[in-house]
Amino acid sequence: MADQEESKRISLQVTSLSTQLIESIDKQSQLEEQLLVAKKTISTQQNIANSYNELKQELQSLKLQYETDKTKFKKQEEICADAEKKVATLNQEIEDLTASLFDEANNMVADARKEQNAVEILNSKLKEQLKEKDLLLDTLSMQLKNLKNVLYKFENDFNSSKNVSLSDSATSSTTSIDRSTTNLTSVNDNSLSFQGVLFSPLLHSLRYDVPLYTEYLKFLAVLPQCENLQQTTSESKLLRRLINYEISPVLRLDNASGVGWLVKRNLMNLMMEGLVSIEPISGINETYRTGYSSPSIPDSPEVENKDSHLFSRPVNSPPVAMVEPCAFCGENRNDILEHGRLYIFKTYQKLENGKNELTNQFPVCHYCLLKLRQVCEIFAFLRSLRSGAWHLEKVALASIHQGKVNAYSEVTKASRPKMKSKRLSIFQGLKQSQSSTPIIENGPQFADKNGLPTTNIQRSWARLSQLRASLQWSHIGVWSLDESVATDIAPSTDISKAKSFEEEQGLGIASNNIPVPITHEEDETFDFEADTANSISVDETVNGIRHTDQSSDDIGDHNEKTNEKTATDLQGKNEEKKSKKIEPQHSRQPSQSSTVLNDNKESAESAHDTHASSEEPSDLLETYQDLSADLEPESEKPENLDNSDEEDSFNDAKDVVN
Amino acid sequence: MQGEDYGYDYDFLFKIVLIGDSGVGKSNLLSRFTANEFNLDSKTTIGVEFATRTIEVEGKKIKAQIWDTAGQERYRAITTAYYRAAVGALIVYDITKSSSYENCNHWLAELKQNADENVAVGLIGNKSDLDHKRAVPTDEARNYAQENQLLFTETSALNADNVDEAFRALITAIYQMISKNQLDLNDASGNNANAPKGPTISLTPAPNEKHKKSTNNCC
Repeated sequence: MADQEESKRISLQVTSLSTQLIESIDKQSQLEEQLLVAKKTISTQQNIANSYNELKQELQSLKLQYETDKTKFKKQEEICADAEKKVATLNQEIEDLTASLFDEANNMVADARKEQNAVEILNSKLKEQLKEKDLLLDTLSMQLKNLKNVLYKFENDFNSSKNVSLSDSATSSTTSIDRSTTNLTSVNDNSLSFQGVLFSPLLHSLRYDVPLYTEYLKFLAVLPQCENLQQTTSESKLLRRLINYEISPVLRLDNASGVGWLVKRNLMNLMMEGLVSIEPISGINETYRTGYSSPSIPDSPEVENKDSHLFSRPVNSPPVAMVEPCAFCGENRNDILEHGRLYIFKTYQKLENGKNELTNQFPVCHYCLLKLRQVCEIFAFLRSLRSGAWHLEKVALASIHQGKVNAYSEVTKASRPKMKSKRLSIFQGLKQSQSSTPIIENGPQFADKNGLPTTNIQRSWARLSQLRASLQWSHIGVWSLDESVATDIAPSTDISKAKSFEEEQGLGIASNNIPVPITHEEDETFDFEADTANSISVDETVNGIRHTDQSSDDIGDHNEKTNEKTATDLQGKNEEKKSKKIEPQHSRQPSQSSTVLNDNKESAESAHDTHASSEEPSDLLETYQDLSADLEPESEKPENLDNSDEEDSFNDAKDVVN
Repeated sequence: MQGEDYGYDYDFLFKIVLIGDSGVGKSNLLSRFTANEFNLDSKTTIGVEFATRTIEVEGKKIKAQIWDTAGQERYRAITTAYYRAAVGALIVYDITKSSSYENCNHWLAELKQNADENVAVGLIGNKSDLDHKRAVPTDEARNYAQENQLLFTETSALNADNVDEAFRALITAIYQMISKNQLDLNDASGNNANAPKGPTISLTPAPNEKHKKSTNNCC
């Protein structure tokens, strides 16, 4: 038992120790396993730790980089902020600049606009001012015009106040007796101012019913169509009668010893054409004329006067005269100035180039000077009628051709009844009584009630009468016509007024435009018939001397007779017909070529004129035959005229030869 | 538009005065030149009247402003005032009135007293249509004009003879004088602007030429 027990205990011990060994081996394997796992985890842990370190390192470096980057960034940020600031300031600046720019621009525009506005305002103001000034100017010039009119009126009144009673008579007196008495007083009133007036009829005593007036109307009717005065002779006897009865007896060219026959024949024509001039040998002669008063020179220095050579002679030289006797009257006395030949009468010839060539010169005494000048004045007046300056009413030579008279009168009756009643009443008379004497109702020939001329035609007639009268005065023998008192007769330029006169003729309307006869006229009621009677006595003696011409004169007479008849028939039918319109005529410009061509014919005609005295008795006879004269063809006349002209010029040549 | 109204369409404006005795035909000369009118019944001028006409000279439009003065002694004070600034003058006389010719001296003296120094002057014998009443021989007047260096023409306002020519001659003379004067000024301005400029215009050759024209019966 103790060895079993000890074997049992040893066996139990060995079993416990085996189990313990198994358990310890197990535990060891477990621990070994655990160790392996631990080793494994340690290695992984090591790896992780390695990677961690790596990462840490990386992180470290990254952190470093980050630091540097951060500083960099900070720097950048700073720069950026700076830049932004700068941008902001720049922007501000730009804004400011643009603002100021716009401001400036605006200002400039505003200024410009203001300026423009100011200019515009100024402009409009100036325009207004200009308008105002214009208005002012207009009114002022109007006022000036009116003031001038007042002045004219005042002057007129002043002039006529010398002659109050006369103008009174012109407006108030109705009967001729009244007029003559008032005139008488007026003459007394004026006896102081016009002392020593020789003879002076008044303008309103001028007749407009003399036969020559009718011829004058005919003359006016044909004048516009004629190139020169000579051509009117085919229609009007005015020129012929003036020359035969008034001019020739005064000039007495047949007695002019100093003028050659060739010139003598042509002289009247030259004067008619205005191709003559009459001038002093030197201008100094004029200062010695009767009634000449040296011009008063109040403030011009005397020295200047002496130095100047106005004339070809010294200032205080005596007048210059010629030794030769006067070519027209043979005056050869040298005792007084008026006898001396102080003047030269020059004749010209029209050349083809339009210039005038001096052909002849004749010394002229003072007496002949007056006569020649008056003759030329008459012709110049007749020429001037063409220029339109007289504003003549239109005169128509109604139906020159026979047979048309009735037709014409009917036409006028139909179309212009009013005119007919005033002016063409003569047609009625003709139709009813078949008389060729002009019957004038309402007395248009007598001008207005006061005897003043109402139409420009009558005024021009008065002017012609004035000129004719002064020719007679120069013939009668006055030293000077310069001092004569004469009314200025001028046409009325107021056309409307002239028209109203025409229509209201015989109603005695006075006009401001008509010059009131304030002075004593020269002989204006120069009686035509009486004059012819006078000239007959003169011319008969001429006829007696020149009886060798008798045969040719007969032919001339015959031709003249036919002319007279036709012409006087016309006198019955031709009316002065005054159109309302006054036609302005252009100044007379005779064409040179025709003048040259007609030269021969004209000289022949002038010869006819100078010898026409032999026709006068028959002419006078025919004036009284006019009433019963028959109508004759008009067309024959020109040839007849030419024939007689040729005959006469032939006779003229014969005369000289004899 | 308004230029028309005020007649701005010209290159030069010349003021010309018409002087001479009363009744020599100044007003009719003017009306003949500016309006081609003639009036037998013209009244004596009071104070001054004026009219214009534009003509062409050497391609330039020249407006002539012509002052027609009263010839009567009583208006002398008014009329002399109009001489100022006139570049041309026409002294008119009546060939049939010796006194009007003798007074030309007086008119010339008055003109020289009152007008500018180098005013162009023309002498005009008017009423040449009244050749038969001539009191002033043409030669004597021409000599006188030549001596005083005046243009000379005989005209007739009634017949319109030489009227245009006379005015034209004067205006041409003025124009030539002025254009020559301007040239002189231009030359002088470079060196000394204050150089005394006294252009004496010699018009002497003109009257002869003029007369040749005047005998032409041109219109």
